[in-house]
Order: sequence, then C-alpha cells, then structure tokens
Amino acid sequence: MTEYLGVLVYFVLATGLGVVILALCVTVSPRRLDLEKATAYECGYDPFGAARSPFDIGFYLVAILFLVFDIECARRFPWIVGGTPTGWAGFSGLICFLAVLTLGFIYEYCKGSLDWS
Amino acid sequence: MLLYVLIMVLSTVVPLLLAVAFLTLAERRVMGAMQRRRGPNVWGPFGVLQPFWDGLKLMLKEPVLPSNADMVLFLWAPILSFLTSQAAWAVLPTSAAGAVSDLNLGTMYLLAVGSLGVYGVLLAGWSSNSKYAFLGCCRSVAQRISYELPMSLTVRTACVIVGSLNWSELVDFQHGGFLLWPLWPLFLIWRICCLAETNRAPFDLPEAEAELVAGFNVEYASMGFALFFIAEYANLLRMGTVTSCLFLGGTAPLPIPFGDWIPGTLWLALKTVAVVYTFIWVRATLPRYRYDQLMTLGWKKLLPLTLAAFVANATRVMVFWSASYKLCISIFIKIENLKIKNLKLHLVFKTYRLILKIFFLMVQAAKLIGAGSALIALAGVGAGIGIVFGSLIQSASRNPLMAKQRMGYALLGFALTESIALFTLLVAFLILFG
Repeated sequence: MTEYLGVLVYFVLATGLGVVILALCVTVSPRRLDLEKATAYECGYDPFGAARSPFDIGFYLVAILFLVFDIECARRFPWIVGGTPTGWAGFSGLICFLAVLTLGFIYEYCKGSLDWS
Repeated sequence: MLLYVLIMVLSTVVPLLLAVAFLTLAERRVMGAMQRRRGPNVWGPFGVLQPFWDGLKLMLKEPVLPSNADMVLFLWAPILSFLTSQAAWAVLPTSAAGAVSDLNLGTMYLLAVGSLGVYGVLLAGWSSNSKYAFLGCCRSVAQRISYELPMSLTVRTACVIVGSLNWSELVDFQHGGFLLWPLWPLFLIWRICCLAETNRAPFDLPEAEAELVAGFNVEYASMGFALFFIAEYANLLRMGTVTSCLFLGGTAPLPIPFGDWIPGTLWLALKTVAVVYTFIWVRATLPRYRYDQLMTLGWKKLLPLTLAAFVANATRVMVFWSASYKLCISIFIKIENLKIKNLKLHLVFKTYRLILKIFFLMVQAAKLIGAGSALIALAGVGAGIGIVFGSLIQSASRNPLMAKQRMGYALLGFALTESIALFTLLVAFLILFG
C-alpha cells in the first residue's frame, strides 16, 4: 500500500497549489464591485428566466447508457489481469457476459436511442 | 520516505507546469506557422516570455464572482479540474526510475482520475447559474463520457495483450516492439478519443468560442479561467504521454543504433512532443464536428469497433496462451522420443535430399517462366517498328517534300525499338543461363 503515498501527496499538493493560486489572485488583483459585472452573462441583455430550467432529455439518456457500459467495463477488469489462467471456461464466461451486453447495445442501436445523443 | 516521495512529486509537477506554459506558446506559434503568419515573438527570444506575462496578466485581473453563483462549488470546480489533471501523472513512468506511484492498478487509476475531471466541468457549468454555462457544460460532459468508453476499451485491449494493468509493465513489454504495430487501428481510434476527451478541435463544440462563448467557463474571470486553461493543456500533455506509453513504447528506445545511449526520459519526451504536435496540427487543419455527428461517431462507430477489438484481442491472447502451452508440451515429448529412437536419422537425410531436388526443379521452372515472360516484350517491339514505319509512310503521303528528313527520324525510331528488342533477348538469356 505504500505506493499510494505518491497519489496522496499529489492530491494534497495539487489542491494546495490550486487554492494558493486562487487566493493569491484574489489578494493581488483590484476588486471593484459592480452590479453589471456580477450578474450572469447573457450577451449584454438582462438575464431572464431561471438558469436551472429543465434540460434536454437526451443528456440524461447518454448518462444512463454510459453508466451501463461503464459497469460492463468495470466487470472486465478482473479478467484482464487474471483471466487467462482460468482457461477456456473462464473465457466463455466472459464471452457470455459480453454477449448479453452486446445484445442490449444492438437493441439500443436499432431502436434509435443512440441518434443525436 | 515522505520527503523522497515529495521530491519525486515536485520534480514531476514543476516541469509539467513549465511544459504547460510553453505548450500554450508552442501551440500559438505552430498554428501561426501553419497559417503562414508568426505567432507571439515579441517578448523574449522566440516569444518564450509570452506565457509568463500571460499568467501575470491573468493573476492581476479582477476575479469576478457572479452574485447568484454557488460560491463554494464555483471556486472548487477549477481546483478540481486542476487537481485531476495533475494527479493522473502519479502513475505514468516518466523515467527509468519508474512512476511516482508504481500502482498495479495504474491503468484503472488513470481512467478513474480522467473521469473525475468531468466533475470539474459539471460543477463549473452548474454552479455558474447561467444558461450559456449550463448548456456548454451539458454538451461537454456528454461528449467526454461518450468518448471515455472507447478510450477505456482501447486501454484495456492493450492491457489484455500485456496481461497487466501496471504502466511500468506496459512500457517494459514494449522494449521488444511497440504496441503500435499490432494495434495500429486502435491507435487511430485512441487518437480520436484523445481529441474528444480534451475538448480539442475538431471536437471543441462545447467551447466553440463563436457560438457558446467559451461554454462552461464563461463566468470565470482571471485565475479560475487560468486554472481551467492549465488543466486543459495538462490534460493534453497527459494524453500525449499516455499515447506514448501505451502505443509508442514510453521510455523504450527506438531500435536504431546508439538508441540505448539516449536516456528513456528523453525518448518519452520526444514521443510526447511528436504526438502533441499532431494534436496541434489537427486543430489547425480540420473543421469542427457538429454535435450530433460527434455523438454518432462516439457511440455508433467507435464503441462497436473497440468492443470488437477487445473481444478479438482477448480471443487471440487466449488462443496463444493455450496453443503455445500445448505446443511446448508436445515439442518436449518429441524431443524425448528422438533421444530414444535415433535410428530414424537416415530417413531425415533422405527427406533432406528430396527437398533439395524439388527446390532445384522449382528454380528451373521459375527460370523458364521468367525467360518466357521476358520474350513477350518482343511483341511490343514488333508493334513499335510497325508504328514507326507506318507513321513514316503516312507523313510522306501528306507532305512528300519532307520525305528525306522524315526518313532520318524513322531510322532513329527503328534503332531505338530494335535496341529494346535486343535488350529483351539479353534479359531472357541472362535469366536462363546466367
């Protein structure tokens, strides 16, 4: 587990560096507060409508599809490292798993849920 | 121990930040050169001070904080982007000493940290509480997660061939030969995914400056923008280094004479520079993808290809694993049998002589075929001579006064054609008897 020490140091260092940069900027730069500057950018007009309005359903669909395939990818990881000694039996297990997910992918493809989004 | 790791981390972070600074300059100058203009060349020789003055300018500008933004998330988003762009470098073997963290799950760690970077974008767009930022963030996030799938599958295919998720082992495996040679189609797919992951042209619609006005970071002013900018270029360099480690051998030298004398870090740097140069090249060359074309490419074209590639390579690895195992066993058994029955050696000699005979007969047949096909050229020669004299007659009938001059040309043509005929005969006899 000691090899993860580098990861920890990296996280702490990078966060610290980011915070230092932001803090430095806020201290050093001129601060002249103004109502126009502090409102949201809307190409020069006054902002109208709520920014947190409902968004396109396509983005949600992409996220769900990504989730499904990401879980499939996560399931593949053990096979990559220790799959070959399991022989053809383990390999056919992997293929059955991937076949089921590929059938799902073909269904999505033909149903048109991968269009536009 | 901690001090040692800290020094290792600093010795990777500080050059990386310098590299990011000079990459911004390099991109502007290279794109300028490709567009037949100069890039920045005012500050310092070849403009090398430009990125530092840019950073200073950004630091001295006012960081405008929007009034209706979620302040905590607003300030955390650029730090998160910066953090994930730096943390991914912990596992990459940037020198012969190996990586800062030689994780056995290095590939998984890299993919995970890359996915965390998406959160930075998401938080930035959401916390800005602005319609433009939100739309840009939605598109950027959807693009990045769509292209993460083919990317992770490509990495995993390479890992299947090597049999390990460790980056150092991936690089060591390539001392015998780069993974580019067997996996070159995956390399092309990987390059496309890299461009899409870093929101880089031709996939830079989420930050298309003319349309969405810088997309998710429209509300960010000076240093927030600078942190996003640094994160983007650090991601670009990371993609270049990962490409080099995954397909081009990382710190492994090219098989050229005295290749071993150049240290591994320099090899990695050269390969990364070459890959990043092609990224800049693509940006200057290709037009932008429309959003639906972009998503179609990622889901309907690259994902099935990478899925198929993974299954194909897994099968290949399984076949070679099992076949080579059985082959070794069978050869071992055969050697054991030969030791007992060495009376069968005279049969070996007989077969050897027979094979030699067959070989010589094949060479003779090849000679005859070669000579015969060389002589086919004589037909062309005959046609050529006919053309020469036919044209002479035709020109003489049109203009009888110039007949003598034409005769000279005809004789010249005949001489050249005849020389080709003689050359053909020479080649045929050489093949037969030479």
